Amino acid sequence: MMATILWHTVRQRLLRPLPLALCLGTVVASVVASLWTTEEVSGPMGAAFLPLLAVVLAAGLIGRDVENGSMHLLLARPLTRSQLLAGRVFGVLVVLLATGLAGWALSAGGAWLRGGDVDWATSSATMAEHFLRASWWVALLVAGSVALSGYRDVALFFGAFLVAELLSAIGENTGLRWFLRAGLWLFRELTFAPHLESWSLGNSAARQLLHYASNVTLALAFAFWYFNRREMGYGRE
Amino acid sequence: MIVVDNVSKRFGGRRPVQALAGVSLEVQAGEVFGLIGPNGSGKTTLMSCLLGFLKPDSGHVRVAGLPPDALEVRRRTGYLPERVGYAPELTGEQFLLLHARLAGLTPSEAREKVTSLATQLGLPTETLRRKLRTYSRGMRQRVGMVQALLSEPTFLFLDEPASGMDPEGVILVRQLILAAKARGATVILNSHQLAEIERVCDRVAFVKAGKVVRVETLRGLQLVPYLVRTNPACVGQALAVLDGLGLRPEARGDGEVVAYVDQSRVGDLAPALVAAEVPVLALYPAGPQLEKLFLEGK
Repeated sequence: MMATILWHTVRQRLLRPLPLALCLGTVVASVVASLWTTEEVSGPMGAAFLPLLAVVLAAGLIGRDVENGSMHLLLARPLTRSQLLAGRVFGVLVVLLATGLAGWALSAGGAWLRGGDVDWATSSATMAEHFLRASWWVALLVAGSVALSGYRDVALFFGAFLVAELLSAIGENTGLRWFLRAGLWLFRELTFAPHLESWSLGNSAARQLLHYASNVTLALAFAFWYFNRREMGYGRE
Repeated sequence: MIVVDNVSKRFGGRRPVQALAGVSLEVQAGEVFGLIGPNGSGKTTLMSCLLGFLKPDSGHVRVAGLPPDALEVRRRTGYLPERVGYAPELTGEQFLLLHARLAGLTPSEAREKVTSLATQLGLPTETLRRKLRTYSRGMRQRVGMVQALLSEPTFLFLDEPASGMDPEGVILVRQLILAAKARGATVILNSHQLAEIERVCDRVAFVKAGKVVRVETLRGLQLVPYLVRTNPACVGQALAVLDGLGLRPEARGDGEVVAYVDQSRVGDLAPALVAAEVPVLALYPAGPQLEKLFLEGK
């Protein structure tokens, strides 16, 4: 059942013009960027678009189905809400991973075939960092999407950046250090991804990975908890 | 059997609404049960509770002895919502195959079932290959009806199934409901189309202000008013003949007589009148009974 929802999500996301264009654009950007590089290929340039792609793919992942009524048809089928949500989330992650890997393989592989010097360790670590940031953003958007209808999750997501920016600006201009700290902390958390430089997993990288894992776990735990308890009457709620 | 026991549901917000207030119902297996009532009376909330989308504040709902959101119940449930808004980027075929797979059919069974049901509902292959966003409301409703019937459900929940459909579609829906009943399915039908409810339902519940104010049995016990139009000079004779048949006739207007007839005896009317040399110029149902009951209950 979950696999059916997963593949449905993959297909549904790729049938929409904007996600499809961004997926292809990410792969093409990786390849084009690698063509300009004559010396060392240290990372797929297109992978930097993965977090942006994550926002487009995860936008309205649940909220839109609730709004257009298709969620109720899915809920009437013999699958649990957790299976439904997991299928949706993994579907987005599969598209992200496939896009990142395709761009990485084409750019690094192409450069290697042209006789370029490919730093595989750094290149793959960069790819992984972008993917982890993208998956964190997916978790954030999913947490918003289970609670809000339509595309309001995206508004909440960008709104959080705006709040971080506002707090920082107030802190800087008024000298209120707590505002500045809160703004910077929020911004750091929103954009957080572990730094995996060449996969040399020292204490710092391990701590960052743990930080990432706890962030994602918290966001997804909220999403699953809320989605399972949310009432979904199709009349007035 | 579906049991609704003293179910209440209140929605909060600035203006709290008591959507359901102590609703109790029992729907027998194999019965077609209608829900009727004015807008905002709580029919949709009741349907949501029956499907397990909403949890009652008090009381409980049991479908075949289980909670309505139990997977065992879901496996045997078909549902058509009132508001038909499916994933618009999918084609009709993709949408139906997805739901057939989710209903537990294998890929080949799914394809076969989708083709067979779509054909029954007048959805040709070319139409199914178009995106759902290009469908008219009536066509989306037909697609919705197909998806509701994919798993040959034992419990069929239909919310305004014929809404937006052309007359042919309305007839098809009626036939499909009766076919579901014939194979033993329990059907809950929420509709404002009283004539349709009257044609297919065994019983109806009148819902008003969150309460079931009355449950009426329609099938089997119901006497349908039939209007006989004859020569004005023969009205007295017609009344005597129909009274002889025990049909409680009433003279109405010029040359018209209304008789209350059990559906199974409608065929006896014209021969009895003709045998008594009463000219029968017209003979037709005088109007839906349910409409009268609905207006009485308002």
